[in-house]
Amino acid sequence: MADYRLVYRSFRDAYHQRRGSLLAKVLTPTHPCFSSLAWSATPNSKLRDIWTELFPNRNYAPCYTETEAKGWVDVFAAWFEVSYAIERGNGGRGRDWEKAYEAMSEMTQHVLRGFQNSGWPNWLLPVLYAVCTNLRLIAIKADHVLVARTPDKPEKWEKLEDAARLVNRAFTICLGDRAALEDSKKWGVYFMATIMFKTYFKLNQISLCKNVQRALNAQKSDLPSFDDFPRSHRVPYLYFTGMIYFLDSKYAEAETYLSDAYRMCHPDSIHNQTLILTHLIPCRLASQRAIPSEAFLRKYPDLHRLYFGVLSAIQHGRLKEFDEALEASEDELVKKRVFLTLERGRQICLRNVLRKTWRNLEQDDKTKVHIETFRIGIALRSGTPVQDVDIEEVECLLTNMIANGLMKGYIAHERGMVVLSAKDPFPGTPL
Amino acid sequence: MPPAEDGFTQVKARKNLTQTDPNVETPPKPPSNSGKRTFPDALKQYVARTFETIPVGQDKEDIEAELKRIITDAYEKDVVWTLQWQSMPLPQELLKRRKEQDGNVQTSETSNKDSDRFKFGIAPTRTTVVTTATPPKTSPPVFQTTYSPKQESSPVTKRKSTYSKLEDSELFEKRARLDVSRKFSASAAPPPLPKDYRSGEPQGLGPVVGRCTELEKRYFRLTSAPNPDAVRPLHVLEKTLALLKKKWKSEQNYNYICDQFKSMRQDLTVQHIKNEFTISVYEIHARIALEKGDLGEYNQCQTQLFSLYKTVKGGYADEFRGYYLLYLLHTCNNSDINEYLASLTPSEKKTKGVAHALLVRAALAQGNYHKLFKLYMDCPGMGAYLMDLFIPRERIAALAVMCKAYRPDIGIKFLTDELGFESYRECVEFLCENGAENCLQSIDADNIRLLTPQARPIFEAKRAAAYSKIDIKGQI
Repeated sequence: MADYRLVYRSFRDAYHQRRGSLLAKVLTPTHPCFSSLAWSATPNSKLRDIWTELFPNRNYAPCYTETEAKGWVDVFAAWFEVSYAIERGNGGRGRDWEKAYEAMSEMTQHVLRGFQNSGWPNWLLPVLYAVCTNLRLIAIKADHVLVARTPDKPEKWEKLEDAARLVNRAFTICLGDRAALEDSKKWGVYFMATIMFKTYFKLNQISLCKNVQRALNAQKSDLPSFDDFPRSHRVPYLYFTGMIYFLDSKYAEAETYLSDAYRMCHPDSIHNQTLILTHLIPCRLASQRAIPSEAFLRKYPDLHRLYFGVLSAIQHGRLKEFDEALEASEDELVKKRVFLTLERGRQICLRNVLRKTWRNLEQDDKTKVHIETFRIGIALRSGTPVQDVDIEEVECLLTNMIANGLMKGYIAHERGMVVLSAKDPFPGTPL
Repeated sequence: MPPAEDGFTQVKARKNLTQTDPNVETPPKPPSNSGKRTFPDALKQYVARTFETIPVGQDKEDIEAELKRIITDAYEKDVVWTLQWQSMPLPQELLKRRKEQDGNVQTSETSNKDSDRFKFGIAPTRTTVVTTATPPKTSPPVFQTTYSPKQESSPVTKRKSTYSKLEDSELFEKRARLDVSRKFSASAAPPPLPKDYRSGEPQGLGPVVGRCTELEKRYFRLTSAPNPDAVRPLHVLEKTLALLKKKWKSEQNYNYICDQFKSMRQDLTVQHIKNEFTISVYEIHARIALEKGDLGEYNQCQTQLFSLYKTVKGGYADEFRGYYLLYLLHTCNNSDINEYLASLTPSEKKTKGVAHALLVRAALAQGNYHKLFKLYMDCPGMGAYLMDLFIPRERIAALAVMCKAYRPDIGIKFLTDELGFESYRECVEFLCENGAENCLQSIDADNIRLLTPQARPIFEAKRAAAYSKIDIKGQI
């Protein structure tokens, strides 16, 4: 077990060198000293112990004033409580997530106070990121515990809702900072916005994301240019913005943001790319009727498993396969919120069925096709006997094809005929 | 009148269970108000204590009179500044002592009067009783010697005007509502109290236990802690439900029924009653609201029902699960639909109502109007009432599609069948209502045709308007 004193030494070094990201590492549960920290003091002695460890001999360096130093002692005291609850809570068994959340919430408030009242400089922003990230994660853990304890009560995200309020405060502090750009905490807005989005998505209150977006848009002219933000802030922000559009069924906008996110995403991060593509593929299917190649899908095993069946059924006009594939993974698709979008692919699948039927026609004038012919084609491709395919329904499907621009021509109902355009009757597809 | 000034803002939130009315709640007037008299703080506190702790069983007027007597006495004897008001027994205690000596004659009389007064004025005949039996019970502000006309009248006039704005039903006399509001703000309590009942206890911690035995009660939105005397306990509510069912069958008066159900729901809520009966109250109200197309009320019931189904057994959850999906289809909110689909279990999806609603959803998603209107014709339960909400919109959408795909025209007979109209006539009327009367061509009496190229822009514009909030619908 690493010596807990490393925590304090690292803090002093990082603070001295003004390296926020190093400092933030000290305050994450993945730090090697996290568990030994829990054994470094007792809840009663923590303040005194931390004072002596953090600032030996009452020497406030690298801080300048006692107030500044005291702010950090408070942060570390709360951090000690977090580690205590996780490592030693529950009477020594550890993982007391509710206590950990309380301590984490206190720690967040100390950090917020530091930024708001004690004029913490913006190189400390990584501390804010780390604290808010931990707060969110611990809140989720605590809520799971709470829900498990009271199975009768309807599921509630009590702690996470509380965390959302604190994170929102952090976001507001960043957004409202008026210091000159190089010293501004405005550099934190997109990172904080992303944490807000994650929280609201988890809470299933996606509409609240719009408040964050609105606040950002209102300040747009005062913010640094989006391109100047670190990529690690931009990509998640683009991803969530795209997601919000996607859920609003605004596929064109969603596609713009998701493609940008995909383009900027780290080339080695298959996980993040998978996340982005999970929505980008249905998006492009809906807006451009585009289907990714199998070779491309193979790069992402999860996506291949999830989408390949459906997409190849669409491509080859196999209605039966399409319906079966969609039904088979319906639950997962619904959970990923892509079912309703993917379902629209049936129209493209149907278009391909009709095109194939039409191509195989052996008649001189291919512009006049009996509806009955298409009925047989659909029956063959959906694996149902012809008599079970309702001719009126076929006609209805054909009207939709024409109205949506997937087929060019018109229907003459009385003659039971589709009159197809002589040129390019199925636009956008090879003949 | 601006909304903030509606009648209810007058009622101040009560901090205890005692019989207070707005006038009493206002703090004692400063000495300057009465001109010649000033009061020691200790006396003010004494008065406050008096009104804080009026037991429910005691008549306030008596206590006020007693208080007045004590204060006047103190003035006349000129001890008002010297008296130890902190240790002075409260008027109600003095009264109680006196009563114990006199024997209890007064109470029974009051309770008779009161029980009469709090009968609900549903029929106009009843209201006459109400009017005659209610001299305003509002008491004067403690340190004022005369009623201030402004304070007296303002709540009354305000309530009246709110009433006339809110209710157009002739059924209820204005007074009836007035009386109800008084019932909540200033009620006396004739029925016997539980022994350990302490009137001064703060409210809102636990459920109220109702003591009202009237079957019917008008809905009144609570502005303060509920008064147990105006709340019906479960066994009374059960009778109420039976009565209301009967009345609904015989009278079909929706305004009355809706109001009564709202007050039942309120009584259930304040008493924290969550059981099968609660479910059936909400279910019946939901069905009635559905039948009458009152979507707002229906949605309230539905929301409550889904939270009840999670914790309470019983009821017709399957039926309402189907309705809920149809409701969501009406609102066209794709993310909500997705959330709801995610929450349904496989066995729930197989139940009749949900299975049907799922088919409706699929038909809508594919623009398959042929299937949609077939499903509309064959809708289980009361789902058709919900489908009615979006059927006109979907007819427009289907017409927009058909006008683009069919040339040069379509027969009305075909349209009537495809779009689920009951008759030619209904179909033609629908087309005319939507501005397509000039696109109709009559070949002969039996063959009217819709000229599609001409009608297309009309229905496309209408469709865009109908989906103005969700303009992606129908596109792929």
